[in-house]
Amino acid sequence: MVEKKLVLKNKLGLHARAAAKLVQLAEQFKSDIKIVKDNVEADGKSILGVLLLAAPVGSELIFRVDGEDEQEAISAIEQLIEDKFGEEE
Amino acid sequence: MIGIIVVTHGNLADVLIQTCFKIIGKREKIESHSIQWEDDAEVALKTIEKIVKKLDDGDGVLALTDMFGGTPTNLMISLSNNYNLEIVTGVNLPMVIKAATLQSKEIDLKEFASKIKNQGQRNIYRVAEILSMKGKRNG
Repeated sequence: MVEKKLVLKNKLGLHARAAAKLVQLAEQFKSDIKIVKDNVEADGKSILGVLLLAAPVGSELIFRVDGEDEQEAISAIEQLIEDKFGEEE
Repeated sequence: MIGIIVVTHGNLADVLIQTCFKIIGKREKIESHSIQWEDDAEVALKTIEKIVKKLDDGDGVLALTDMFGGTPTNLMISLSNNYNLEIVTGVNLPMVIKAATLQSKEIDLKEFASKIKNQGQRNIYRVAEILSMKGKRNG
């Protein structure tokens, strides 16, 4: 299991389309992916679950990834968040 | 794969589908039919029946309608004897998103309809309750 704290940098935070992108990415991996914010845990492969985290810009999210491709998964997620979900400023 | 049809009064159905696709990307086998106020119910029924026929590949069709007792729901009920059809009323955006993302999974139509009903109900929140719950957990 890998655990990593990542900070949201895009202006709108984890809004609907960003959450959809994150979930679509997460679904490409076999690993179990959980996202924790303020002690609320969401399934990283469920868009409605991820939206319930209500995470604006600057939020710290803890990703817990467990499975055979956990390293690849966490790298890809980190890349997406660093890229601000491909959104323009 | 189960087909999905969203049927409502006004333009709601079309816009719900467009909004869902904007968020999660375009999906196949999801259609909408918005019944305009001036539309003839017989004509609307024929159009809906065509869509249902097209969507059903043997796995059946889930119809999401706006209100129980309204024309869109009643028209779907009138088709339900002749087609493998499940109807869930009170359609909202989380339901459409959930249906679109679950659709490709191996799932039985009855179970699918029941899941979408539960999701629709579960995704209505009073925001103040959620925020106070998070606040308590923080403290």
